[in-house]
Amino acid sequence: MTQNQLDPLIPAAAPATRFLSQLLPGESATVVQLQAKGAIRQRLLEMGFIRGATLKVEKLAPLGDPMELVLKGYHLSLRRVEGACILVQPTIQTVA
Amino acid sequence: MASVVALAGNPNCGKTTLFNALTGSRRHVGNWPGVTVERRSGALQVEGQLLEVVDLPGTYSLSARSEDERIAASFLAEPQVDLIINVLDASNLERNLYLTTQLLELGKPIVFVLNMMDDAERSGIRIEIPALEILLGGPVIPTVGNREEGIGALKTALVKVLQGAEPKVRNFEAETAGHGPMDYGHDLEGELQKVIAHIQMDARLARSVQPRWLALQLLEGSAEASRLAQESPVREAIHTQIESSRTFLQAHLGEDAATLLAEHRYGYLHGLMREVATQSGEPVKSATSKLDGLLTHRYLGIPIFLLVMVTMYTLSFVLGKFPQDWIDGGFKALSALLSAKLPAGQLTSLLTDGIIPGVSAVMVFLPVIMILMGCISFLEDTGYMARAAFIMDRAMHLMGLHGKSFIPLLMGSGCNVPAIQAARTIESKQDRLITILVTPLISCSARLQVYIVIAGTFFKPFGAALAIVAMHFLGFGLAMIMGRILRSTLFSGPSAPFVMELPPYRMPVLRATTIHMWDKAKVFLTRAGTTIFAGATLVWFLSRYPGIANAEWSQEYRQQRVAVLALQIPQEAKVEQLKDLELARESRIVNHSLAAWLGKKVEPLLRPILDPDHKRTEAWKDVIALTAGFVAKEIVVSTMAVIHQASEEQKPGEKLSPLQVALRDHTGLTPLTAVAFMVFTLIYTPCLGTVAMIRREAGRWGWAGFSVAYGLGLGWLLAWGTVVIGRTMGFV
Repeated sequence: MTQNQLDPLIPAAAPATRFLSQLLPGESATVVQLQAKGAIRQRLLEMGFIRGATLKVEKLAPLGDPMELVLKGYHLSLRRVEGACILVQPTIQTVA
Repeated sequence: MASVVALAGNPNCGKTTLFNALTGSRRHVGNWPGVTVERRSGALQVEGQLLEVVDLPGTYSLSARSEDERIAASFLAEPQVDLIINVLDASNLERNLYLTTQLLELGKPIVFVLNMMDDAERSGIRIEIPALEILLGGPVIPTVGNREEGIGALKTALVKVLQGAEPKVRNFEAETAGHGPMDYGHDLEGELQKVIAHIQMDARLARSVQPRWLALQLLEGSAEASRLAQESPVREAIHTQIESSRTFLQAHLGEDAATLLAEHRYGYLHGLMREVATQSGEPVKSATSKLDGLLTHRYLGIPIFLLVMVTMYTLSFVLGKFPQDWIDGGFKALSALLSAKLPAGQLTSLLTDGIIPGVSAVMVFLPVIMILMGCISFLEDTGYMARAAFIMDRAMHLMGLHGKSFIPLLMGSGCNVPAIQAARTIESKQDRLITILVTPLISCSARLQVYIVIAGTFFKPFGAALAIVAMHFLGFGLAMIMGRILRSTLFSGPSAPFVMELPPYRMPVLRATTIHMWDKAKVFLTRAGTTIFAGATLVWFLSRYPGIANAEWSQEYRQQRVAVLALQIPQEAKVEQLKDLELARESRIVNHSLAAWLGKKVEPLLRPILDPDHKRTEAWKDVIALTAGFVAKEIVVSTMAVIHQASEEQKPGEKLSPLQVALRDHTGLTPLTAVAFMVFTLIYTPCLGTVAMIRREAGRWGWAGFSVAYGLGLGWLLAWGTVVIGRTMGFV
């Protein structure tokens, strides 16, 4: 693990991108790209899913779907199919 | 002339509480034209100036993708709007300001309300108000909506801005020579200017709406903006420019225009937040996240949710049953009193059998509507509604529905009417319509009364209970299947995104809940009540005429009564005999009524269900009962009692009521056709109250008609299927 892996904006050394739906509760990530189209894309943009935005997966609903995220200081929920349209770069967790 | 003030803001920003605080009791609740989105407006007088405050639907943006956004965008762009109040949740400022970036581009004066300041302070957020005022170009008033703090200052600011006496209002247009409050960067600004130039070729269009606002909306692909541009004589030129700008931006910046605009806005807001907001210390674990740890817990979340639902159901349908019974009893007593006092005749019958039961049929809904709507408003204001949707979404999504559909469906098993009203909480129009259309399939407590009588007649207690449970499962299963079918046929468009905010938990304001309850009751009385009343009166007419006007019959009845009264028998026996006489007269009238004529005409259609061997002579009477049941399904039973001339009241010591004995021995119904009858009763049509509510909530008679038609079709098919399958299995 090199030092610049802590900076999610440096892709070369950062962990591989994943879809938001693949993240586990407690994981944080940075938005890389929205692959959704139409109304969903527009809604995601308005809610703050823009390139570089950091988010954290808070938990999954009791039945496993949807998921709860924290983004720009507020909580929101998202179905996993919708999360599957959002490409993210997981942030390396620094354990103190 | 009152100045028009529009109240705009995100959902959950406390906009409605603020609206209530501003307007008090002088308010009007209706729908926006052509849609079923609530429109609230109210009058406000400050320093001699009359203001009309219009509460817009809460939206995250004005890009006009959803119905709510379209309404908000088109209303805000109207020249009649003099001033905008932009309500912002101080504890979630950055996301709330996204809408603000779009509002600013309208070029209208804005007063900003920084609501929920207490929440923000508690979580250690400090906001520099003077700096925010300079950046946003308008007065910023801190408030705590649910304690009505800052309302006075807000009112003063409104008047000052309207009078043009507020120096904080900035004219970005003039200050920045062209570009508005935000600079979108070289490439975007260049394309914007080109679009604006094309818009300005149509002087009328450029006057009616801020050209920069329209250009931005067009680039973003707003439907409302396209509609405006389509009306212009230069639409071709505008359209060509938009297409070429989009292509250019995609090629040069590698993203579509909507994404670029959103990125710029959030980029701008990120910088703005750095200047105006400071977070002191580490954010503490808030009460919300502690509560959420419990309420959406992996194992405890569902049991707690079910407990909340049971409580709500009990309050609405068990507790609500008491006032409902008082209302029902009161009207029945009134009706009995009048029919005893007034001379028997057509007018008396109109009053006692038509109008009073009609009014009663409307009024009995009121307690349950008010309680249920109160509960829902409470759940919404606390923030739990979003969690309920979060917990249930997966299960409901399998049915082609939304997490928020669960409450209407569950409450439907008490009564469909308030259940359909409860569907209003579902934001997406598609999801709401599907929920509204499948809710009537959920078996309600009125239908239960029919099953109890019929199943109790033809089956032993255990079998009857089983049949009744089966009916409820059938209703629920059908709702599930129809949900999926509707989703993949009539509503096959892309399903609305579930992206849903989970707002912080908040203590609701009691006043807001009561206002909400009262509004819902009023809407029900004025919109649905009239339909129910008219329908009840129509059914009265169909089932009484022409018999009730038959003078000879009336004469006979009077003579028979006199004869009984003259008999030398004990008083109880006399009362009993008089009751029988009255039932006989009613039976005669109904069995020779227009409804009976109709029943005989329609009966062949229902023969495969109710009379597969064509052996029954009285199957047409079932049709009368079903017709009457359209008013309210429990009326099926009381109508059967009249047409079969057998009381539905059980005599002490007997297992079956006279009606049940008559049904078993004289009507020719068999256990199998009885089940078919129950299946048909479940589905054949939503009752009148439900139909009226569907019309109200779906916005069109078309959907109400559709629900009746598909109910009849589906009901027939399934009842017929019951008979066919039952017979091949050897049942009769």
